[in-house]
Amino acid sequence: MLFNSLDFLIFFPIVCVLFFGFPTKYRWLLLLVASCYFYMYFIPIYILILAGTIVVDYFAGILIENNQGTKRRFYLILSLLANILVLAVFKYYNFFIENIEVLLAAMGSKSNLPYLSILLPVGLSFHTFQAMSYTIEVYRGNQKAEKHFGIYALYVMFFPQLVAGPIERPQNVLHQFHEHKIFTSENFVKGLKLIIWGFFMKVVVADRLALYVNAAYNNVDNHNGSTLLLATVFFSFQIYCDFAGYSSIAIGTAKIMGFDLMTNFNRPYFAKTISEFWKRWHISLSTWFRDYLYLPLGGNKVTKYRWYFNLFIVFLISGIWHGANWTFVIWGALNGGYLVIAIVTQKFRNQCNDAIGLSKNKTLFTAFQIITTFILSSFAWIFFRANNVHDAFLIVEKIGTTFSKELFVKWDVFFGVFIGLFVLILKEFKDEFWVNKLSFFKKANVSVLFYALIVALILLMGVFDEGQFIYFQF
Amino acid sequence: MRRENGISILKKGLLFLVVLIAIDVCAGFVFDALYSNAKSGVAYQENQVFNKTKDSILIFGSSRAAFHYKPDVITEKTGLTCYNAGREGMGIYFHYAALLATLERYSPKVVVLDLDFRDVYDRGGNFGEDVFSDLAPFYGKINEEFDDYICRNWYDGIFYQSNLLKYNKKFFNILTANVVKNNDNFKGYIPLKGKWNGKDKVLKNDTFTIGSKLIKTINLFITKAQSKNIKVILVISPTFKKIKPEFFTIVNEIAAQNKVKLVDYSNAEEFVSQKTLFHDSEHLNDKGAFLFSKEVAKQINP
Repeated sequence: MLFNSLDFLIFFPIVCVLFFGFPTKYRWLLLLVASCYFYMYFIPIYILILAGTIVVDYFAGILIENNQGTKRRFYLILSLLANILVLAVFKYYNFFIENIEVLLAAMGSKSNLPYLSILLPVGLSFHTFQAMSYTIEVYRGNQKAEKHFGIYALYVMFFPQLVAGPIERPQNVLHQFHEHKIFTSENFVKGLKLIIWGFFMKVVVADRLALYVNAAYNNVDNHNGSTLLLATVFFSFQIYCDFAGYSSIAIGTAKIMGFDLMTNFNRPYFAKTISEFWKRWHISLSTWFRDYLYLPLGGNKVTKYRWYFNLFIVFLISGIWHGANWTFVIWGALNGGYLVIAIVTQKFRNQCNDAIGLSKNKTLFTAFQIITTFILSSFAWIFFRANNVHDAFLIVEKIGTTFSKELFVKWDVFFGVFIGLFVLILKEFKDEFWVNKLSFFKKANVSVLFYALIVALILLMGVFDEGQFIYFQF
Repeated sequence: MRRENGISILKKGLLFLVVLIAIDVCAGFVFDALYSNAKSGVAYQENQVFNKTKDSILIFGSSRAAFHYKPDVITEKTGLTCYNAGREGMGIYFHYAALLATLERYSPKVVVLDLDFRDVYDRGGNFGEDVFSDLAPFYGKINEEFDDYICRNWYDGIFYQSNLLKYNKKFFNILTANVVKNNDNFKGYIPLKGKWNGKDKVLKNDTFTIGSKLIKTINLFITKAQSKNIKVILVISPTFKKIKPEFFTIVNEIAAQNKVKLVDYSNAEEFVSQKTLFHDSEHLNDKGAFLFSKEVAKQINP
């Protein structure tokens, strides 16, 4: 089920009312049934895949806890392999075969390996990673194995974050399913605000930007560099609003029912460095890779070159996590490359900034850093969004060579985008830089007026074609 | 404490609803006014056809109607005033809505429906059911039959109580329509310049299926007009596109079933022998439209 569908607008209030009306000891069952229903709205049969991994990880958790030494490690590896196998088959198998074929063709040979004609289960990478974090944390002794099968299943399937995160940790969420939740006006208001803002980001900003971005990126040959450049900038905002909007709705939905999910975005385009960008963007995934891959590889407590390798490999894998396509691999490599280059050139850049006096003017320097980070991340987004590697390089080439005044114009999109981005940037700017300054906006009634205006903008300017969230494909 | 909290949240909720409803009501006044004062574009066209025309002959159809029928020529030949209600990019669902809106005000003497293969094959978009939300600004302003026609889902009627939602797909058009002035000197007709020099194309409509709802709406269009004693003429404009024979069979059946005149110019030698009369493979230029309008006028007033 999509958050931006009428079905969800009916589904959620019903679940919410039932949730608070149910006796505490059966609430897990209600949420589990609701989550199954939510997930089965896409392709019902795929719930069996989810059920399979839930069963494996549930028993793996108990076995890990009840064993020591090699056996304990064995059960962890078994559980991780089971999860990775599901990902490998459903997400990467065809990509693997495709590349084997290209390789064999280059060597003058041919393969007859069969392709799988299946659709990728929605949000597979998200719930697989969430499940993996459970067994790892049990193995590390940070989390007790969950004995209640239904509650463990709910940990993986909790519908607000089932298909696109935030990718939760068991320490943060599992215990909440055992608690008695009461309806509070504070949670309701906070949650509702997050939901409204999330809808604004998705249907007013992201989906309207998508109209221009899709027109340009799906027809690269017929557009010049200036159009593709604008589409790239638009995509930077589109993907942010699409994904952060989803996260906001997810967190708000859970909040109304009394559950606290982790923050997933923290105004990433105000980041001053790429490193900071990744501390603000898709935080639940960044920290997952940090905790379960980067630190186990040694993090920065290793030799310099090994550190560079660690950084690079983590982002390369993060790229592959996003999708079975070389465009994502390049996108991951670019981000890894940015981080390594940033470390290598840190001293030199500091000297340059001091020499030209940039670092003395704090405001100017901050603006310069924010813009530079935005440009770098936007450049990487070209590879993320392009339909294939050829298109991605063609876009880069065209932006560099066929820049012209003849911009592909869609005034209705521009107008909507202008209003949407204006409101978005204004709010984010206030939250980032004026958090303690504009106390006027903190007054309850002003806040009510603001959100009423946002709802009005959603009704007037929202794109209600039930556009899929970009991250569902991962 | 909890009771105070409850009252506080109720107050906030009430304020939220009052503000939202106030915005919605104000938006309704503003957009209604802007719509009826539209000076150009889609809003202007719709306003003319839905609310203003009083002409004896009305031409309905998609771009091939808008570009092919010159009202001045038709008026000169028939002695009856004429308005071209053709609308680019719209199919029979829209034309029927336009007819319903017109009939609420008056009954023209003759209605010409220019049929296109898109009116018969399911292609989606504005030729399909997307068009109904486009018509939302007219909800509650024509009559019950019109409202029932444009509400395709159980919830449409509820959503269209909101002015903001009603104008969701139109607000940008309405704003620009009040800034840019139209040069509609041709009573709905849009002249095309330039000559076509391309090659004949085979129309790739094989993947589209016949839309039974579309055909039903063509029949509805005819019977509705006939119920008001309006003479209906079906026309297929000249084209270089190759249309599947199945289309002609369907249209002939519709004409025979409803006992209306069908004039098929799709392969008329006087047009398709001269590419200079075309702007592109399926649209006549102004010169072609002039000759074509004279031909159609003969059919209206034989």
